[in-house]
Amino acid sequence: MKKFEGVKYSRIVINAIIVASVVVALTSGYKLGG
Amino acid sequence: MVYDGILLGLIVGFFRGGLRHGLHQFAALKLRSGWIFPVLLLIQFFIFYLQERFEWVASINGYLFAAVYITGLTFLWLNRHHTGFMLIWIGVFLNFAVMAANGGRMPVSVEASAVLGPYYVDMLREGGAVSKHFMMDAYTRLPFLGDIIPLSSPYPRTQVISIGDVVMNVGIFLFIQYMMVNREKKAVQPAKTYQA
Repeated sequence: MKKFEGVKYSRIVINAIIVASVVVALTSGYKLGG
Repeated sequence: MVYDGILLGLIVGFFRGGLRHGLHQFAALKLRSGWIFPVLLLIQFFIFYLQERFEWVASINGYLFAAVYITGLTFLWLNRHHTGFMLIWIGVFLNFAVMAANGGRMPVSVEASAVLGPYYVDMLREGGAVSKHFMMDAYTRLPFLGDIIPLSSPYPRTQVISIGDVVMNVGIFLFIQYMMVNREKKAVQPAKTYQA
C-alpha cells in the first residue's frame, strides 16, 4: 500500500459524498429501463 | 445513463492515468458549496417519508423537484471552472427545461420505448404508475428534449435517453478524464551526454 501514501482519504470521502448526492438528487428514478 | 458515463470514465481514466493519480486529484478537488447537496438529499428523503403521512407534503412535490434542479444548476454553475462541468450544466438544464415545461415529468417517445418491451409501454400508456414519465403526444412541449433515443443491444443496457443525458454524460466523461489523467507527466527525456 506504499504507493497510496499521502492520499488524503478524508477528502476523498467528503468529495465522494458530495458527488454521489449530486448524482442521486439530479437523476434518481427518472430513467426508464434497466 | 449517468452511471454509465461515470463507469466508462473511470475505466478509461484508470488505463490512461492510473488509480493513484486519480485518488490524489480527487482528494485535491475543491467543490464550491458542495455541502448543499447532502443536506438537500436528506431533506428529500425526509419529505419522501412524510408524504405518505401528510397529504399536503405530497402536494409540494413539484416545488421540491424545481428546488432540487435549480440548486443543482446553481452548484454546477459555481463550479463551472472544472473541465466538463459546463457540459454537465447544459445537459441537466436541457432535462430540467423539458420536465419543467411538462409539469415536472419527462416525456417519453412511445416508438423509442418499444425497445423496453410491452411492460413499460403499457405503463406509459396507462400513465400514473411511472410517476416521473409520461407518454409523449401532440400536446407535449419541447418533445425533442424528451426521452427519444432508444438504447439496446449491443449496448449493455436497454434504456431510453434524452439529448440532455448524452450531453451530460460527455461532460461527466471529460471531467473524470481531467481528474484521472496526469497531464504533468513529462515525456521520456533523452539521456544526457557528458563531455570529457
